[in-house]
Amino acid sequence: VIRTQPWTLSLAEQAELLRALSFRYFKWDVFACGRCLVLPESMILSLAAHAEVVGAVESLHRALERFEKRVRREPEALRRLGIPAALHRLIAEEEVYPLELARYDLFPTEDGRWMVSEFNEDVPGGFNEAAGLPELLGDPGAGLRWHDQLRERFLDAFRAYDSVALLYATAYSEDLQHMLILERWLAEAGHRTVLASPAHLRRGLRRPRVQGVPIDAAFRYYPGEWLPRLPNLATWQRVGPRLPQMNPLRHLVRQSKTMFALWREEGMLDDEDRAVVERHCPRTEPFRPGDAARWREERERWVLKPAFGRMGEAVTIGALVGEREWDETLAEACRAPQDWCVQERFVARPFPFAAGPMFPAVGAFVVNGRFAGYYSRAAARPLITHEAFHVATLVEAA
Amino acid sequence: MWRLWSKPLELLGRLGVGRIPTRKMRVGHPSALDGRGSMHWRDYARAERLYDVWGPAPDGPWVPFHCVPLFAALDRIPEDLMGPTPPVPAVDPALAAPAQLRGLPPHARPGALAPGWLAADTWTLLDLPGVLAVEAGAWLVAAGGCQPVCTFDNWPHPRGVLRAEEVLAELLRWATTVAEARPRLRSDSPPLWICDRGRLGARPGRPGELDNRYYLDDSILPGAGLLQQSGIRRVVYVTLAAGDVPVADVEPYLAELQTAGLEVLRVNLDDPALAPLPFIPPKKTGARPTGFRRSAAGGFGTIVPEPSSSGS
Repeated sequence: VIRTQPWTLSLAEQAELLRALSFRYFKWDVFACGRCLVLPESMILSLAAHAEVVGAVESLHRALERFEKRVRREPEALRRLGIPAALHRLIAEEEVYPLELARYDLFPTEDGRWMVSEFNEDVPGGFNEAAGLPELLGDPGAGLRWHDQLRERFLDAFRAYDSVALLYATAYSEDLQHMLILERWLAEAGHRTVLASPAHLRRGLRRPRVQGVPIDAAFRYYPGEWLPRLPNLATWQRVGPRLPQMNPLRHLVRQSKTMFALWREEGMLDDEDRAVVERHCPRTEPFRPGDAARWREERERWVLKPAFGRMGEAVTIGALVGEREWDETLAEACRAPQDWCVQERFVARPFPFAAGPMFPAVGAFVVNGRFAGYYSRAAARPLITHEAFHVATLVEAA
Repeated sequence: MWRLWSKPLELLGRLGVGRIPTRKMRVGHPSALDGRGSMHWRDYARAERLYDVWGPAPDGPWVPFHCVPLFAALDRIPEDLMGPTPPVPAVDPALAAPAQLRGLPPHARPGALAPGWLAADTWTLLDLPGVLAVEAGAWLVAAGGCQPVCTFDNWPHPRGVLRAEEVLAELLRWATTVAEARPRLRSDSPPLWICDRGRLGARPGRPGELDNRYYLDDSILPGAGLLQQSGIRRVVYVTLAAGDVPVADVEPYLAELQTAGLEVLRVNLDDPALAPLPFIPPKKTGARPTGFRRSAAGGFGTIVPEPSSSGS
């Protein structure tokens, strides 16, 4: 399914590559805590594994799309998904434009499946490495190929829009680095761009404005659930439904981890989608304080997750923590049960890497429903956080 | 009805009516001279060149901590809008201006002697107002043979809350001075972290401003273990004036280093003797905050227990 192959680069060449990744592709967080987070090896998927991943993410995308369509105008469902009430109307009224970018991280499991524990549908990242490494590493050699269509698919999606705002949390250089690579792609394709905070969105005469620039569309790299805290929320409520943006706010439906519990209820999925979901997604229960004793008893079987945590934030895997930490997380969830869910743990499969056995998460980008390339990571524990290693992903050629 | 209005509105839009005038980003002044009185700063007017000259020894342990973002911004500034800090008229010390307006004292400027505390086992954390931190950094690299690590993790903007472009101009100003000292740097030269004391800002962003404040986290501040493995036994935290308290993102970190067995000292540059003083840890102890919560407008506000990023 997966094998690894070390780069055939000297240490000096590796250092040169990382520098190019930093300066040419704006990947500024190559290091964390003094450690390099880019593994000097590539992960190679068999052709069959690649086909299975592509099939899984495209069919999951279709299932999510249908689920979202079903619930996005239902305030009670949105509430159960943990989506702030201030956004319900905006989500219900949002027009549909083909501007969708997601990344699904699939874990190979001991029982031969590919499992997705959450969907990065709101603000997925990883563009810098996904575009930079294939270009910098170049020809992968006989029998191997890159699948890196992210730039092409991204530009296709924005083709109809001249002026594009790139909205992000401006105090974070790790977010700016994502914006700069997209800005370059858009500028090279002839678009006008403006980098700004979502707080800079203003109403205009004909078009909304950002930092004085009239815009036709936006790329939002700012978590949707934080929008109610913006000083210009009223502008977002007014302008947002008709602003073509990648990603639309309705994607919060798909981003919420409590969705995994909701879609198992009667009438939420058709038979085809249910089969896809049951094959690739873990069983999930809404958090009910009354069941806390059971989850305490069965700690090793469960994973506690907040609806909108990102990068593994606040995810607590019962099998990886002691009783005390588990109890503390259960107590925290009891205080805001609507914001939590409990997911059955699946047994991820480790693979041999040069640095030792690690658990890979094969990240697959999906743009407007189509697979668009890989951004994969690996970690010593079966939990991907901001300290996981990035690993270049190749596929065996046909 | 809409059609009746659309053409006049389109025309107004093309004429730019209602548009906020776009300010261009400027860094220093293109005709200003560098610290050596030359125009050779132009040799460092590219991001990678400036990053390299202000970075640690390339084969040493400190490379991962040298921050790219502010340097990377240089490649987006047109040549005719870029240069070192232009000269400013000297402030009469008799007017008792605040220390940061008076500038560095003579004993802590480039050309002054190296301070006594510098040694291979000493890690210096220079935490001064941005422009002064760069100038003092040039002093310590040139006189003390320190290997610099810059921690400027932000981006300049014409409407930025922080004037990051002033730091960039100062990096250009002293680039030739630091370049001259670089041949003496080795991987075990004393490490010097150069930090902008104003990084957390004095106020939140106002409407229309771009919040480019930032904080130092564990991607920028090495842990006690790494410091000790690299032969560091002593930490010196340098501020400008005696009354300067450690910045909120660093104070608990210093306490943590002290607890881990490193000797932590403080130096105030206003003291002509530059005598190290003991660091008194904050009374309130507890887990070190490793991040700050983002504010609604993309900046940040209160402390949270985990670092975070918008993306997933």
